[in-house]
Amino acid sequence: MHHLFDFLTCQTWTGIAYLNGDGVDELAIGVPNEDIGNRVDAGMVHVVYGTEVGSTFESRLSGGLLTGGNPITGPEAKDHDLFHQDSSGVTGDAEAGDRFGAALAVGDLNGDDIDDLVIGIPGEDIDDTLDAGGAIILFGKRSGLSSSGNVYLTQARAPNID
Amino acid sequence: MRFGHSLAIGPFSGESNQMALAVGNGSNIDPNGRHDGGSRYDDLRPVEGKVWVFVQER
Repeated sequence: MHHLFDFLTCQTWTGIAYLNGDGVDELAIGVPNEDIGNRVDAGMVHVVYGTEVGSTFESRLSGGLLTGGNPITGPEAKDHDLFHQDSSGVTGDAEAGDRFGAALAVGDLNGDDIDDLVIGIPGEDIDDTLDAGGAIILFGKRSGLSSSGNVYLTQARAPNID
Repeated sequence: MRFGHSLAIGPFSGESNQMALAVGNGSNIDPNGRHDGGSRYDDLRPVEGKVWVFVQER
């Protein structure tokens, strides 16, 4: 069973978890103010995969991920993933003000011993309701975090627990 | 409104066969709820708004 290792805050929410089950920490970084095309503050989430050999978090981060450079590449099969609501398989559409990634939480929600990532989208419009908000669960797999089978939650779909 | 403003995951009920996801809509969630093994519902302290808790049975 892999547990959340730690939680940090900085300009955006970040988290460290085992998102591919290899026993090495990953780093998830929410960037809710990121523009997707011309859609201001649509938001995105970076996932940096940790490794026991080769490049380190430090080299991956200094290699451009956080400095506006090109996506990280390296000798490992997968260094880095990027998710937003226009990513293949992710429910919904990237829209201005969605703020995808404004909140993140990690934990093993489906009991497969690999942590999953929950992404808050507090500015998501639902039908005609502006900023109704939503959340998406991306499940961790051995190959990394996956948009396949993602679960989309909204207030309308949630039971009221008054 | 602003569902997804704050998130937390943990076995909040303290039951080993459960994992729960808490989603707030514009409220704050005490970060202790993420770390202490989740033995108490009162770890969740919404300042305003509502918190939804989804419990996953295993």
